[in-house]
Amino acid sequence: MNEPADLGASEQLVLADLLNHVLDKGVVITGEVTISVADIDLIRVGLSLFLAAVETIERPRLPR
Amino acid sequence: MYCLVERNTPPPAELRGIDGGAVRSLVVGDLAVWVSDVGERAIAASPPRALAHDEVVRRALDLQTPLPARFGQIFAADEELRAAVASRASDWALGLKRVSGSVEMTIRILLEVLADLPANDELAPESGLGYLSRVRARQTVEHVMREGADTLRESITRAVRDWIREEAWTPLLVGSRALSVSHLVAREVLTDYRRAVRGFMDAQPALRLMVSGPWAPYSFTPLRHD
Repeated sequence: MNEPADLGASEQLVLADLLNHVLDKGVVITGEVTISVADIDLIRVGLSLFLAAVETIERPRLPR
Repeated sequence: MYCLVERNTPPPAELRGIDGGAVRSLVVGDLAVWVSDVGERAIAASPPRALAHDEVVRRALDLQTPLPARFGQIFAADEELRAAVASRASDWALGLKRVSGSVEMTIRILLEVLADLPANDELAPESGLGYLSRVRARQTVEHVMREGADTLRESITRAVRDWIREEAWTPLLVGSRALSVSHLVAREVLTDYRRAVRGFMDAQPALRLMVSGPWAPYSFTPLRHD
């Protein structure tokens, strides 16, 4: 479902974080790397990327 | 509905929202709501739509700190929205005052390091006993993770307490290993806050931690229409 294949790793992380902020309750980040709302997968984030992310993301603005 | 602002804060004329709709301001008393029109009473969440929603809220954040609405709060007509704002005007005005001059910063930590489920072959073979063993093991892991998450959150709070106005966190959901803590931070101490978080990260090198922001204060908004 609309997986943004053209986004880089850090942008995927930003998008994942954005979805958690913008969408209401029900967003779950699982150990199986799927972020979903009401059982609908919105985006998949590589768990290893998440594990490796030790960074400050400044003012995320994603390509539209 | 995207966000609530003071009445004298109109959106930029060229601003477009979800599905390209022009963003306009609906003034109710001393407050204003940034809205755009959509074709349906309910719209499905998607990354492009979430991005569009957040972009509108960010434009408001550039002007002042708004009360952001979560995605998908839709009204049948302007009059319905006006009535909703009027009925909760005092609460929402207080909410706007509460977040004034602040932004939200969010810290997420993956709790993979705190506990793990025993491998299946470490448990009894498939049977009633095996099933119960797995259930018990999972409950134990979740209990340990919740306790670990609480301890971790308290550590973070201690590290940044001089620089935050408020804190909000999401209880660890079943199946989730991501601890999420959000802080309401005054814009003028954002650098100090970041320095404090950096100090915490440096002192906890084993943690996998991500800090993001500044966001509009999504975790501190009472702006809901149910």
